[in-house]
Amino acid sequence: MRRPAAASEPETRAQERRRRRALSIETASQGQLIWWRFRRHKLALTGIAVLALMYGISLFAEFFSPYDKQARFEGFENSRPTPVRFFAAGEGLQGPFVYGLERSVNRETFRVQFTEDESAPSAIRFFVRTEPYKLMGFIPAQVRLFGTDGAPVFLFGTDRLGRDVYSRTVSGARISLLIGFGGVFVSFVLGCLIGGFSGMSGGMVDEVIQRVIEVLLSIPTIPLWMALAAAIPRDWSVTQTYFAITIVLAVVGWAGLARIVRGKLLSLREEDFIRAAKIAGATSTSTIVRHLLPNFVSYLVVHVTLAIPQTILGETSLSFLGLGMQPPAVSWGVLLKEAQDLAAVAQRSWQLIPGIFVVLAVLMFSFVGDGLRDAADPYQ
Amino acid sequence: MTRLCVRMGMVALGMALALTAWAGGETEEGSAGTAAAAAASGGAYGEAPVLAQMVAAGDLPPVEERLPDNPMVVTTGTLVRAEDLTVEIGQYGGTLRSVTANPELDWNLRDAAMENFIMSPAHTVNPMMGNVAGSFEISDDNRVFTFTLRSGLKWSDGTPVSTEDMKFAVEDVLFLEALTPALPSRWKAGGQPDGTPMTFEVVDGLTFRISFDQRYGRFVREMGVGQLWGGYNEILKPRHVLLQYHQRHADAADLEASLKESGLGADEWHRLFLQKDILWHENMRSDAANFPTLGPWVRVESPQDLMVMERNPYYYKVDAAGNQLPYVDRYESVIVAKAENIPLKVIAGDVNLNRDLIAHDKVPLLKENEERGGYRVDTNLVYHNAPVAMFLNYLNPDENWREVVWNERFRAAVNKAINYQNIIDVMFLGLGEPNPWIEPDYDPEEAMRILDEIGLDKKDADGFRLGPDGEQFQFVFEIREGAADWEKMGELITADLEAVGIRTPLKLIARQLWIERRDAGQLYATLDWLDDVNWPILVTDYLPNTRSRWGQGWHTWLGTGGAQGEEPPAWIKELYALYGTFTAELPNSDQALSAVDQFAAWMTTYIPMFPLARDVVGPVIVPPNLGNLAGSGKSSATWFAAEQFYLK
Amino acid sequence: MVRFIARRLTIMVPLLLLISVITFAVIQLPPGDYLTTYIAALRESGAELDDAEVENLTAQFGLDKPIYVQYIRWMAGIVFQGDLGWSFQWEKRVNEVIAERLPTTLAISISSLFFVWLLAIPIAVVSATNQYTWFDYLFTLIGFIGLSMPQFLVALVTSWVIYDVTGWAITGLFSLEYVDAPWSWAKLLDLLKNVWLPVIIIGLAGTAGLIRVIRGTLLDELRKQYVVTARAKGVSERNLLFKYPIRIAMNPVFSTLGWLLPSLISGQVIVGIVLNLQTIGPVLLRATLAQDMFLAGAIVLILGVLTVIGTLVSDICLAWLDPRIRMGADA
Repeated sequence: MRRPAAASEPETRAQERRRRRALSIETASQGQLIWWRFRRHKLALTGIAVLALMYGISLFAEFFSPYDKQARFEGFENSRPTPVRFFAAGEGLQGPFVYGLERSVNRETFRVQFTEDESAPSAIRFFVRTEPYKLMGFIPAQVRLFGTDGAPVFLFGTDRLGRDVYSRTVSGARISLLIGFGGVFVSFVLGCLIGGFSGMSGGMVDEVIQRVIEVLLSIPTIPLWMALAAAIPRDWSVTQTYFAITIVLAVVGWAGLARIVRGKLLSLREEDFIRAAKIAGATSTSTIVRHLLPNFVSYLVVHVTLAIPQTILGETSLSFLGLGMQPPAVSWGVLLKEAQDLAAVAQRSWQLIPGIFVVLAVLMFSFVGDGLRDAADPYQ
Repeated sequence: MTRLCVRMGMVALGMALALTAWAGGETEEGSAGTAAAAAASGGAYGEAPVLAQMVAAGDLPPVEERLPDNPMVVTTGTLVRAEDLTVEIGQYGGTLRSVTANPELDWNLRDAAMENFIMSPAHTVNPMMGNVAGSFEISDDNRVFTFTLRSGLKWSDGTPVSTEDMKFAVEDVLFLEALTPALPSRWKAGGQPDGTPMTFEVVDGLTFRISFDQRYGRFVREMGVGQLWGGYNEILKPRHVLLQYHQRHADAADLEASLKESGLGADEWHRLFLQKDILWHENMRSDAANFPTLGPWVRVESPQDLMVMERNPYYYKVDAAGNQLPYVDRYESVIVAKAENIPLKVIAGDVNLNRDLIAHDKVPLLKENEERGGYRVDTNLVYHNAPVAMFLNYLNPDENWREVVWNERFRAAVNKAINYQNIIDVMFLGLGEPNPWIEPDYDPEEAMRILDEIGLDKKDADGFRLGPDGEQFQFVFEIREGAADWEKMGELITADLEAVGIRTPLKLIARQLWIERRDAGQLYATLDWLDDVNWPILVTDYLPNTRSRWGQGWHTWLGTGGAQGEEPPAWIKELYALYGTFTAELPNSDQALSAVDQFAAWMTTYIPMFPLARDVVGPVIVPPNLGNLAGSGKSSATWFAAEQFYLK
Repeated sequence: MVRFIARRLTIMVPLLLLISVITFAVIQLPPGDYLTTYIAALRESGAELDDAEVENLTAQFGLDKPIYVQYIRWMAGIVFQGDLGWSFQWEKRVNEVIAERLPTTLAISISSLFFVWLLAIPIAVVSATNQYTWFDYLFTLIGFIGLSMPQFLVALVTSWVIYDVTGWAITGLFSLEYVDAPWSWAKLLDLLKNVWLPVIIIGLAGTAGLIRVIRGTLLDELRKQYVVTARAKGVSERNLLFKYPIRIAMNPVFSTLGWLLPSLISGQVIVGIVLNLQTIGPVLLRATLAQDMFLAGAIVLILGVLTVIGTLVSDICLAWLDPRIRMGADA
């Protein structure tokens, strides 16, 4: 629907542009329409770009991190981030380098202190050869993006056991960003199917499904989670266990989406164009496929875009409650769990850095979802 | 006759009967001097101002009537070892406030409010002294134990304590199947599950006798420390309060009404009774409110998120100047939602006393805020336990696992592979030392050499050793959730073991799941608490049926005479032989002490488990002006002696 | 309509029974029971119970009875005496445990609710009517950031920053001197002093979410034909907005109204734990983890009742707001 410029307002440049584009809108496909509108949403574009970067880095986490996620640096426990320097006294600007750190513990306060040893600078080098490792777990490789010759570099400091928080954050990204997909997919499919079925058939079937949904929404998930954690085969790794639980819980977790789908269907069903299709003699299947679905897809895409960041957040919350992923697995939730105490907040704030990435990832997904929502709006 | 190393000045009683007698501090000349002086100066005992007011108002009898005829005198060396604390005469008043994340348990309060029949300074079992029972005698053959209650001893509601209370506790509760479906083994000969139950007789209003059909010197410990703590409640209960809930004694109609009121069925009077009967581990809970006790503080009604205990006006201990203990008026605990809330509570100044809940990595933060919060972090006291050890389940049905871990050389290699000092540095701020019993000597090269020698020399593509079956050997390491920092220790050990080529899949599992696997004998390697090796009274903690049940089947086999379980190997039989000596002999007898030495040698030879450290400093939170806090020793010991704490 | 409500109310009874059975079963699903948790806690403090003592405690707690017997007794108590059972953890009637926390829980939930509405609705309306202006972008951004932050981290960091800057620590709903005190003005004042931070943090994510939903729906409505027609006919922008579009845009508010209370209560769990609130959320979590089954069961059951009633209420609201749905439901 084109919105005619109100007579009382002078036409602004934006409105003019919109009006001009409207001419070609008449002939554009649905996909093109969405893309055009999506392009206007700058935040959403930013979101896409940042997410692409994050997923890219997480896939090749081993390459982007200077150290193995489990590698311990004895004597560097709870080290603050290593300052990366470009100026050395009397030598002016040079490539990035770090100084070695001397650790000492104050026996009175037990606070760990680090002092820079300015006599021993080590340059940060790019594309360094290191110990052989396996990229994505199976491709043998030996080159990492950066590293040093001498003193280690900890961009985000180290944790209590002296492991590089930066390397762990990058590795954790892979699990945190990907692990939610399975569960979202399962509950998405079930929610659409059952909600759709419920909404379209109405009557007794609808009634029963609705009541089942209410029961499902009332079931507490924490004991389910505990029971599943006990039932899953013992030799599965932490990550596998977590993934399996999210899948199983998705089997009961479709209820919320199903309700939404049904509600949307009920209101769409009464729209004039559906009624028109029915009167014109369209079968119920073809009504769904040709008329309801297109109206719906955009809506569902948005739902998924917003559901995935929720799983990222959910993973950190579960870890907080002690139910989610646990060490030795490395995910953002695990990293934040280690940093969730007051001592970390007050004295080792660098250990909270993974939290920034959680916020960033969720934010970007929200931007994209919002952009999609605005773009897919059928009325614009 | 005097086989025992007893303190100087001890008066032996009943010599004609060839009994060895131990008496409480009050008959002791050295320490009783000041109290005697106080008593001599007109018998004037001191009491807290709040109580004095009540006496003046006529709400409470005078202190002389409240105290027993022979109050227990607390002075240097009575509750805490003399080398750890020189006791000062304190002053009355103030509140101690602890914190707990468990609505049903705060051991700070529990331990302070608990009393045992007899006692020893800091639970050392050396020497044993009278406590609730002012004096006691042991027959030469360690079979007959005669205890005499303090005359004039009263419950916290003023009712006199007598052997009637004990008769009730033993005959109507302990020996009644409805209330005690299974008699705990400490009340059976030799402390064995299959031993003959004790014989209990009342001699007179204050004296009672417990006898067994075989030597059971460890029974002194059971009465003194309990099965790791314990209290008096099992054989001494406030009859006057509990009668109304007991089917044998209560009026049927009243009992029915009480049952109805509690929402219990007519056939469930036992549940009602057991709910009303407060045991030692329940003494700080809300339903313990106003239940008569002999401890220094009584639980009173309180809001849901606070445990409150107030002084017991009838408490039987006095200081050397004759002042009735405890000094502190109230002992409270704030219940928080999760252990993570504790640091902020402490920093905010809401908490001023706590032990064992302060994790080491919080110490720098807490130290920094000491002044703002008005508390002090004390790092002079050590934990009463190891505090944690790695256990191997020898009886896991996995043949491959058994073949490897039953090999002493494998365990020696693991011992050399673990960098204990590093664990102590990282986890305990360096405040502790490796355990000498397992001769820690970090040497990964040597560990690898041993592993190669014992046939674990083949490795897979990832560099991990293959087991006897030719597959990768997995040192399955499952740790239960809930204990602070265990997962970190697990990660450190895992890293050490994987460095010598032992694949160690580490998993943190829910506590209930862990218990289920433990009881089913399905654990492999795990972590569990272990009471400290330099606390020789606790050798039971090293038996294969206790911590993590590392050899439950062996224990069952021995307990059932070979009918069930698995026959233990020679080295386990050796352990049980030592344990037999411990059980038969008095805890501080020469035989028992030499058994401790043999036990240490046994640990060194077989390394059945891997205690990660010993004498680990357990940071405690105390008010900056707390008096009579021990300067060394175990924090649990000085916490048990909280009645002598005072605020300067 | 009356028939519709009556039918739903009749279905509610078996539905709630079903929920209670499933809940009770689910709570028992994980390995172990309350006693294993309690004994484990004792062990942590250095005390060891021997097998006989464990057996004795099992009898004391009534855990030796089969689960269905325990369930039937529990249900009978609820139905006939309004007795929600016994909490092992608190050694109290469940009714007491819940009653003590109900006022604070409701206070926080309802204040959060109003906080969310008062903030979200105006912002959403202004955002939607001024789409793609700086106001819209700013609040979109703020709203999204609110949605993106893990609650526990926000709560933890905020409480530390407040302490570090002001020296005042929020460590519960009441300062210690008032925990023990009976209700009074001073106690209420003390509560108000401590309650604002939890309300804001709990409300934060909700506000952000609601802004997005209302803004979106309002945008949809504003582009519909009836609005266009009305505008063409010269209806003032103000009337145009308030007559129908806002009413329709409130639709999501009402359709979720029914679940708001249960979701606010369970949504409080994490903030409740971090800020140590004396509310039902943390109690539920602890009861669940420790398998204090009657307490956990009772709370879940209450939340279930709220959900079921809530669904009914929101269905009624929806029907009243949007006549087309009513037609659909009756068809």
